[in-house]
Amino acid sequence: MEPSKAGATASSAKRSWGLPLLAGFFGLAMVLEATTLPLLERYTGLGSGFMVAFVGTALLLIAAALSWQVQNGIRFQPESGEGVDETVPVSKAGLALAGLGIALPIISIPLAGFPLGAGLAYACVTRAYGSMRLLRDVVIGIALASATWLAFTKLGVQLGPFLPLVGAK
Amino acid sequence: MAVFDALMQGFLVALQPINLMWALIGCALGTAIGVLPGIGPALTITLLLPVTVTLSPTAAFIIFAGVFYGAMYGGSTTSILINTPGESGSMITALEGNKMAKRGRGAAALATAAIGSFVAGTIGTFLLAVAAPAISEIAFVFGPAEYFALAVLAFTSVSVVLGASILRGLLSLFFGLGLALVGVDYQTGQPRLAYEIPQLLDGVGITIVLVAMFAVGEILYVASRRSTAPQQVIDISGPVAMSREDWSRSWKPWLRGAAIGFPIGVMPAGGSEIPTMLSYAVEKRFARNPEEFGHGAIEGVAGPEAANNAAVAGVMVPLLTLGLPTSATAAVMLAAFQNYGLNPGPTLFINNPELVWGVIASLFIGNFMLLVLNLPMAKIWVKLLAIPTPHLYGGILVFSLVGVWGMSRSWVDMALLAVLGSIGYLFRCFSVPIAPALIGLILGPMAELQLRRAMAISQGDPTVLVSSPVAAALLLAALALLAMPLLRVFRR
Repeated sequence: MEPSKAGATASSAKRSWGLPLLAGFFGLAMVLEATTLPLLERYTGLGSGFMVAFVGTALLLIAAALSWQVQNGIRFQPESGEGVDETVPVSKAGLALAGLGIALPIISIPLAGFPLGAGLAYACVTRAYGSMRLLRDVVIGIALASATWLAFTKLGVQLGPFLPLVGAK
Repeated sequence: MAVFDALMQGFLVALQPINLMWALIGCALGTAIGVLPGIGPALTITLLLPVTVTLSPTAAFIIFAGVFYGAMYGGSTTSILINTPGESGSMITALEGNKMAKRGRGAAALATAAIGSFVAGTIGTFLLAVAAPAISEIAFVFGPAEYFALAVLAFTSVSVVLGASILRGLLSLFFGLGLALVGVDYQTGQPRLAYEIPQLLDGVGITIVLVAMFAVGEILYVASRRSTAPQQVIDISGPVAMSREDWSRSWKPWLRGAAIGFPIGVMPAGGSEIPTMLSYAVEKRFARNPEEFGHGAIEGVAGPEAANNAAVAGVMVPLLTLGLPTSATAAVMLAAFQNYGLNPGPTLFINNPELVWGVIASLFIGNFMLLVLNLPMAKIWVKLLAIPTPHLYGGILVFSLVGVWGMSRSWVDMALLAVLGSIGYLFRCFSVPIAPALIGLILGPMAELQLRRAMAISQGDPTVLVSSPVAAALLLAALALLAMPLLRVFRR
């Protein structure tokens, strides 16, 4: 099946409802929020809920149109890009490790400080990209994050204490 | 004459040693990120935002302009030598330039791309200097209805032109508009979409969204679909230069490319794809040997490269004069203006002439710097590709974390980074363009403000939105942009 201009193909293969569901979820959340806000105001015309209701309704309509496309066998192709092979199956391990690298700093940076937290995140990402030398990557990550912390702190960017776990400022 | 005087004043600012240094840093950084995969000018400027707050606005925008132009030069190097167009504007360069490189003419391809970019960039910047003050005068007659209509035109044009399908472009746009609504309503003080999380009352920071959608989304996406094929860099022998014949075949395509690229760049729906494709088609038509096209024709590199760089200068016109971003990078630059409390438009030319003209003059200087940086040093820039991919993406994450953590040191911001990054990943999985979301996020508050002002002035009468010819024409253009592709679908 030849891909169309829309980066989508019509196919009878497994249908993907992810995109309409995503649009529908956001649309519904906004419409529900809009019900708690005034749509119109007497003196200023439009109320604070007008735009929320408008955007939410638009998202719901888009979700409906996308559902219609999926129902008719349209499949949305992944984006092409540098260093990407969209024909290979998704690497769940790679995705999970990179996801860990992005989620870890939510806890690690506030608790352990920027150099250690960002250094560990660095090592997770290098592992997700196929590097097998974890210990070396942790050391490189912490060294890079420490140098970054030092340089940016000097430039006036507040990145918090260096290593709050041991009280190092 | 007034423009000439203002430009001379701009050169006095741009030629100060410190500003020359910022221009050189911006150009070098831009070339480097143009060569490296995974980082574009929009992300680089985003990551620079927390650092540049310590600099003067003039210095910061001189760096940003260097990054913007430099990325185009760097992108053509990788297109020619490894056949990977970093951005859509370099696709044609990859098509012809890589074929030239494979035939042992890589040096000539790099030279015509760099010199063509210089020629078109200089012409484009000159046209920007002449056109911008005149266009900015138009904005004096703009009221709330006109500004609202202008925002609607920007929304529809980016949603229709950028990306694979209108529907997904609109999804991205409304997602961005939705994010812009999070926080306290400026008019009534009511919280919206904050879900009783105090940190969300100030809204979602533009930096967080930009870093999440560009950097984190890209890190997740490439990790999940990593290509294991080794990169083949074509070696170039001898200096990066052109023969007499190359010159005679290149100069006309450079000029035609500049003539095509600049006006299309100025248009709200211009982008870089249309001018480069159009330039390629024109060059094929004018070529003495059209059969060479597709096998490495120098005109096929010279014209589109020139068109691409002239379009970048064109993009600066609506940005500086009307505050209208027409590309992702322009949207980030608008966010940077907002960070400094500056509003692009006619008042910027009156209140901050040093900044505007200093930046325009620095574009001339930056173009020259980029020619020097790229012609003799192309082989050195390519060496950047030796950085192992795992460490490159690990480094991008560390710098992304600086941008977000350095802003407010809040774990809520870090969580938002992860959530929005996951959405950026999903957008890539379904070919949803990111630029409309950014433009919705950045222009959304302005659109809502002007809509509510217009409605308040008219005491709730919606016809105020089409009461002036300018507003009506802008809304009609927006409607036509939306309707035309839909009509094509129905006709099929």
